[in-house]
Amino acid sequence: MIIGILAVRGNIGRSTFTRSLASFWAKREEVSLYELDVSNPKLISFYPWNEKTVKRKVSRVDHKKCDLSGRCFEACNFGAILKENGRVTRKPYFCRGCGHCKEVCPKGAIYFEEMESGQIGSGKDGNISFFAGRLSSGDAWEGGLIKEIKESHPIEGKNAVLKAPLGLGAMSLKAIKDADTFLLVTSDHQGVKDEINTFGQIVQGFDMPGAVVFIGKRFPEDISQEIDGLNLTGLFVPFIQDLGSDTLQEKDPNVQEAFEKTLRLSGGA
Amino acid sequence: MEIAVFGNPGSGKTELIKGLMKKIDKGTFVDGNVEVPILREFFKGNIKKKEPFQVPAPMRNYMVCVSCGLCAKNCPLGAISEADLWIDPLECEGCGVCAEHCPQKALNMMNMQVGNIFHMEDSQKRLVFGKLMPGALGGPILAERLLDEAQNYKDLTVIETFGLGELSARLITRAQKLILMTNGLDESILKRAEAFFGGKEKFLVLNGVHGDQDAKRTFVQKAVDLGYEFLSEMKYIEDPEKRQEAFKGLSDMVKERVF
Repeated sequence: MIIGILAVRGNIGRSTFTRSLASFWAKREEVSLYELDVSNPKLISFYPWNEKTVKRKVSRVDHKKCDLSGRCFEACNFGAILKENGRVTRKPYFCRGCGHCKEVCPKGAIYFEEMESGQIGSGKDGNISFFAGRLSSGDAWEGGLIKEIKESHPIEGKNAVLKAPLGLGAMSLKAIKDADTFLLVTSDHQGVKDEINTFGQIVQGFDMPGAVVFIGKRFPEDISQEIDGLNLTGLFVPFIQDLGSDTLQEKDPNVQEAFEKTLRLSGGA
Repeated sequence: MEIAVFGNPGSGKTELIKGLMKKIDKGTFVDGNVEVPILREFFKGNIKKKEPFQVPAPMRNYMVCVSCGLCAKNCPLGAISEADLWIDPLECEGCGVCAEHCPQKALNMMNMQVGNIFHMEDSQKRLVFGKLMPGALGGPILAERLLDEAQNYKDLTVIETFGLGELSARLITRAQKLILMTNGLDESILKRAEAFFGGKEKFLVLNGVHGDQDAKRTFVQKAVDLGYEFLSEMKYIEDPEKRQEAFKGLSDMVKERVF
């Protein structure tokens, strides 16, 4: 069973929930926990991990060969290579390393170089195997680093919890597409219905079970209809302040009911 | 003039923008959350314009494709299955290398709609926001498009960024002023802002930061050394009404010292 955990809002308790769910599960069996929110990897301060620096390839221009044909920046769909003040400049942190610019350059003026993308690593804490990545402050594209984590530490066949990059777009879904259960962690706010609707459509598209984990004081009844209508499961988790490195269940054993339900969503455990 | 409000998730960016929307009579706001746009909930005006947002994506013409497999072999992102040449929409970034390599011209880059761009107006105040289709690619590019649209109004532009990844990097590279909001003392956020912020004037707001005074002072000093002007430290307020009141005060300060 692989659980993918999404969120659109920050600082509502997703990392705490994720940690707590993993340790609940790890009481029964080995669990792999993946921190894939590489631009804000909060989980890395809770687990041991031996990090190593990884690089990715990005395009670079040899100005001696460049004749300003303009083919490269026409070909680049990412704004990673552009013409500014009569010179080709680049923003390597937006580059996907696809090499389209290199292929269309009539002068062979483009070559690849390696750029630091971030750190990836793994560690072990009892029954939990932890895998994570942290994007370098100088890199912007999360996709390369996430791929690196998953290729170095394949998810397939494991019991795993995946924490997705913030949001509900392609980057977030790509990170957790191996999951067989999707969770959306949210809290009470004005946009919560739109958030749940968007999530519901995604879950329907993937055709797999999905649940909305609501963190707060109480479960807002006015969203239950929304959740039922989209064939989702609603779960409630109380918000507990100043938890430190404790888990939710250490403060409030009732929360285990939500974890139990989560693990039963796709018929596992 | 573009002012970006940047900060870690949950640091109160939306609350500040909400306050600023009330204080400012003239200007354009940009919502960087293109998946679940929220600022429209707080903006009084009506939708004046809606246009499609498109990104290039490879389309296969099966009438001429001979399944030679060169597209899959040359895809730099491994997005095309070698077995059946299916293009995984989550892995494809739309770079166009596959189309470049197709000897049959069976693959063509076509503009595909993945969302919409909306303009709202309330006399001289505007809100530009986007809504991506669920799970669609192109979020960071859409955010940049919103900024282009806002700049067409040639007015004060206030941008709410989203997350700490590519999308916010694209927005802050193009801003002249930066308001950094943080709810923690992790210095990596200062490093990220340094790496991408293209302008000069930087302002710092702490919001609901735990930790002792010494740690806070050290963090603020680090920021000041980098050229930040320290604006305010907000305490965590649980009561929504009192919190709103506090953010009204912050909006006044921002209007006076940043704008």
